Amino acid sequence: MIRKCSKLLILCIFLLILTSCWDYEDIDKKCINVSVGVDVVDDKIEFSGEIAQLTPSAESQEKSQVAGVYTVLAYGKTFEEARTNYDSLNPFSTFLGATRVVVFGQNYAKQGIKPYLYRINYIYDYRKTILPVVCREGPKELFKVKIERDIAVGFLIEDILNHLASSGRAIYPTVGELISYVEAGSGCYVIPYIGIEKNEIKYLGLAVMKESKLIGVINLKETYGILYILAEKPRIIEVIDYNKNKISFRTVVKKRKIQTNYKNEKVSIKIDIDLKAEMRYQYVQKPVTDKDIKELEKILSEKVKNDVMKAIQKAQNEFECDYFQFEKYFKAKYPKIYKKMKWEEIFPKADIAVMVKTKIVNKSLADPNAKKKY
Amino acid sequence: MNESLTNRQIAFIIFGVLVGYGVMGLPKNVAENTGTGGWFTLLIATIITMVITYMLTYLSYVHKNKTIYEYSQLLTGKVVTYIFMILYIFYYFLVFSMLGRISCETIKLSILLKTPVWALSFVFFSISYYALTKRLRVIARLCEIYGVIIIFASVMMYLAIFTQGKLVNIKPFFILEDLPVYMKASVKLIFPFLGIEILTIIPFDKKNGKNVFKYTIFMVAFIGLFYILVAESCISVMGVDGIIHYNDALLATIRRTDIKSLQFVRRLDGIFLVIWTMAIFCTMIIWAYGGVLLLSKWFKKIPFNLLSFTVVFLAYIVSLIPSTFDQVQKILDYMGYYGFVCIIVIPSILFFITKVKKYDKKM
Repeated sequence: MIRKCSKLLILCIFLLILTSCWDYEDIDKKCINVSVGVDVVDDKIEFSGEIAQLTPSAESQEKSQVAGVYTVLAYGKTFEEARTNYDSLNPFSTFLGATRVVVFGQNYAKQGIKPYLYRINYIYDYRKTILPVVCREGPKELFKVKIERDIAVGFLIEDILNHLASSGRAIYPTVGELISYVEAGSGCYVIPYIGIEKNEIKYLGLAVMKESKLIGVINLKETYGILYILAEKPRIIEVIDYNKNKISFRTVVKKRKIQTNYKNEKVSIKIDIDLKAEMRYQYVQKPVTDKDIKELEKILSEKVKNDVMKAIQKAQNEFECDYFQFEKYFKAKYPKIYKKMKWEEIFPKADIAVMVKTKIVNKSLADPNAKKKY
Repeated sequence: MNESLTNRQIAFIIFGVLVGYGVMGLPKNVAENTGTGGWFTLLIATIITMVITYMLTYLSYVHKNKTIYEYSQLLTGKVVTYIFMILYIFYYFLVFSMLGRISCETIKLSILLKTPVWALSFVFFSISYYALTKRLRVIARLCEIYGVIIIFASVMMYLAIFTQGKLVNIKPFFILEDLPVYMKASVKLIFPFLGIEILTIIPFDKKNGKNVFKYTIFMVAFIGLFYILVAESCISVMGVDGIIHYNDALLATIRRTDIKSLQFVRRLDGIFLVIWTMAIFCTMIIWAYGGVLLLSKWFKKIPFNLLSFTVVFLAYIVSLIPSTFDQVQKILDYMGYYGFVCIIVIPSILFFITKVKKYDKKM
């Protein structure tokens, strides 16, 4: 009996001092951040953000809606000051673990986003898989946009990029990845660039970052060449002019091989891309012979090769910034030579060759050679 | 009391004692010492540990139903044995207490920010005491059950991490010119294998037979491969240049991965911390058991449970003495060097005496 009681007593003690008691807080006693915006306005850091409204407002209750989000804005000379001001506006302590997106304003991105990346990396409750984006208009303006297609601006941005990336038409970098790029080399990378157009939030292309500072923007159409190298599974729609007709294809990268070489103190990079193409439809239905298919494969290969080459030349000549991460491939093959060189100086002069092989695998079950009987 | 274990239990005791806090910083240490060639260094370290394991298993195998306390007296006499025992007891005690502290510090820094370390430690040490009172066989069974869960969950998790990593991050796999560096670094990477000396306090009996060698050596080989999997999966996500900045490299990697296709388990950190706490718990109780057992052999008149309570209580107090995380880390680093004496020097002396005096033939 006494033994049993002593066990019960021990259990009770554990319950009382149970470690999570110290950290426990009710969910409705927390300000759950959905998105964070960082910008510089008049030499001051501007923090903006969306906070989930867990208790519905009187207005929304009338409309019998689910709770939405409210936006908060704060300023300070440093992150810490801005955060203190930000916290002063909130009724409860901020919880960052649910933050989906961090939006950098152009002004702040031009100064360099590295400090904020480290902030996310080392602040405990931030997820390191947050999506970073650069916004043309500034986060403050962005969070003002009235959203109809999603719960909040943060969710909308994440959802847009998620569906684009999963269908191979955009990249979805995370803060963790950017930190790896910064730690590994010159801090050259691209991140999604968004903006407001006709009062709607839209994905506009890619922001080019060098040493984590914004140095330029690549518009949506020009991103395709980059996607062929950077996207996880690029699937791009290509339209080919052929025999006074237009044919729409969906290309999928089947294999991508990047090889680097070092000869006579010169770096050369060879990119081999194996493409699979599906013929989706023709603008005007015409018969397609095997000869046409071979011709189309050649044209497609040439087009993709040109797009990729243009994208690379832009990186080499205009931005002088290796956002393709060729540096990693070179370092993996020639670690000792890499140690002695400055990649940022070598990359613009490197010889880069692109080889594209395309195979048209199907015509989406359409038979362009069907024979009429009558 | 019959304290003999089955071969499988012995193998899982090895897994329990080896895989614990050490895995947290393992990828960082590997990347720092040998970069992407770290897998090879770990392989060498594993082979060296396998040799040591053979020696340790051999000692227990030859001296059946005896622990180091008894066979050391037989081989070296009482005085030397007492010196050895003091070294071991102090070693087990300090590692037990510091391991408890550093694990609690890590939990405090990563999930329970507001919970004081003394409260976390109190829970850890109290449960350790409870487990200790149940003695070796229960501890072994616990290691068996926990071990299977840990192995299954962590292998799945590290394979999942690989899907998020990039092959280019773990290249070059091997640089021939760096071979001397790899060899040299293997000594440093033996530290995660510290704890294998626990075999000296596990008495073997006839049932264990020669098969026990297979079990212990295979388990060390498995742990070596497990470590390689841990290190390579983390480096594939973070890259060698990044990972060196993180003392909690494994947790840092896990917090950088978000596997969308896994849906409800897309964030791995929750699972990881549960598994890791289980591993820490196994490690702690085995270290504590080592110390308490040797003490109980010495102070035969004092009941085992009272000794356990005293040791755990003192360890709890000692664990709270260092004021910062860095101090604990430093103590553990020094303990690594101290461990070298306990894992290699003393067992080697006993092994060679056994061989020279031909005890293996007499037994």
